[in-house]
Amino acid sequence: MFGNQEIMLTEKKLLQDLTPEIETTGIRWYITFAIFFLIFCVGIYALIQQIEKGHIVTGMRDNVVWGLYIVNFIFFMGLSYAGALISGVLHLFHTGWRKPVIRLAELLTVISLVIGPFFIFFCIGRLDRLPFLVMYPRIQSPITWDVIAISTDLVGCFLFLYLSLIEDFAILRDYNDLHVKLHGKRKYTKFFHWVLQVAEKEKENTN
Amino acid sequence: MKETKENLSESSSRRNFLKKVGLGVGAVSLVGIAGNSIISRNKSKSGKKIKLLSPDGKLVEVDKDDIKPAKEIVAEMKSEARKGLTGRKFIMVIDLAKCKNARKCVEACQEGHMLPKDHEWMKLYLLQDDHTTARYWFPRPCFHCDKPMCVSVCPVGATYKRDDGIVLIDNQRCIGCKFCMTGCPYSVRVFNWKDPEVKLPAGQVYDPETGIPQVEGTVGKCIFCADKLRKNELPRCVSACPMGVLYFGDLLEDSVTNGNETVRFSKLMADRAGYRFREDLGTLPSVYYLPPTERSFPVESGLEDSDKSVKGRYKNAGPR
Repeated sequence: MFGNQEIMLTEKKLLQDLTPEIETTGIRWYITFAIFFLIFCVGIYALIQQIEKGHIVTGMRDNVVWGLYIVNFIFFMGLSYAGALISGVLHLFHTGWRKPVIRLAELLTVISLVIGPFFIFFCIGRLDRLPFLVMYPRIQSPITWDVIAISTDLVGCFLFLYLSLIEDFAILRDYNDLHVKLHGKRKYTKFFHWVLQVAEKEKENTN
Repeated sequence: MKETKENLSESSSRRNFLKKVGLGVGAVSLVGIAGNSIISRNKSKSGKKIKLLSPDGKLVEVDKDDIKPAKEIVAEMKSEARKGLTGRKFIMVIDLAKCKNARKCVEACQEGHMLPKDHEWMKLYLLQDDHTTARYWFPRPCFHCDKPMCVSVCPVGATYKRDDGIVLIDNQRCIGCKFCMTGCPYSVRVFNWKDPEVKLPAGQVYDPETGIPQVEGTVGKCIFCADKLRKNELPRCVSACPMGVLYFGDLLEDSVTNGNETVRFSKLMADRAGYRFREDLGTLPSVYYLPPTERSFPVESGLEDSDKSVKGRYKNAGPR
């Protein structure tokens, strides 16, 4: 596409490093997926049990009201803060090799910020009344601050992740040699084009 | 109040309707009108009568079709329950010297509020302050603190402090986050871990002042029997206690009563060196204790009489 074989080669290497499974889906991928999907299914079964029979199945009682749920929530929140701290510090000090690390750290931040609150949802006794948190908020309650802080954090970290991934999206878009593209109706390219509209504008501005 | 008004207006409109029917038929005898009215009654009404208790305590018969969903009444009840009885400040005094673990307060509470057996709003602990002192029974209702930690942590305002000092829970607002349970330093609050399976009597709607029915996934606790107080009666535990351990009263009136004797609160506190549990926490409870001195019963008598399941709880009781 560019006519420069060298650039193409490095890009191919980069692509293989970044997303090795986008081109080929091997048996290893399927096995890994199956194991994690099985664990996921056990979780879903447990959740159905909890919804059907009530929170009594958690084994928690009046003296231990949050148990493992809050542990998981705090664990994922801690992960997300660690990611935010790493990317933030690297960004602040303008470290030369910061970009790949920031990418990783921000991905960790966003994913754990999405997973974490799910444990709060499992923990809440009346999930059907969850909108009350927004309908009748009381600002002095720490839970209201949880809602405000986590949603703000999520938006900010998602933007930061997007900004740090723009260059990678551009590579994926321009890379014509993708296996999926050959028989995949170019779905990926369309997606990356859509994702990159902001980046395009930025490019025009800098040029 | 509102219900009776509605009934009145409805009956008057029915009378108008009957008049119209009578006019339409024209010159007919009184018997004819009566006959017409009976026919029209049978057409529009199911004819089934249901006996209900009116708000002022009278038994009334109401046609089945006249019974309407009580949504508005629930809203009114809830707003009333948020205000409370103005000009009152309810307090409880618990005389630890008299308690012998009869558990009548627990039973009366569970029966009155239709609680499941494992759901205790009033709890009985076996305490021992020190190795050198004797053990004693410690009944513990909700302390209805003047600075309630549970209320300040509630994210949706489901639990609130009323004018009369009572801390109530709105079951239909509670999202079951259990933050109040961790906020309460006295472990007063209990969670409905499973469906309490309350069979609500026909016609009765949810009222935060009775706490009936308890709902799965929400928090419950002692509410000082706010419904009884509105009727100027003593809470269920106070009237159930055979030993007269529990005194209930009004701080502004400076008097408390256990049903048999009424005493001046300030004098009782001064004479018996009354105190509040864990006053160092700064929650300012409305429940006062009289120390277990010169006790009427040995602490063992309370253990002998109780069930095996209850006995098991106190196996490891003692100072830490």
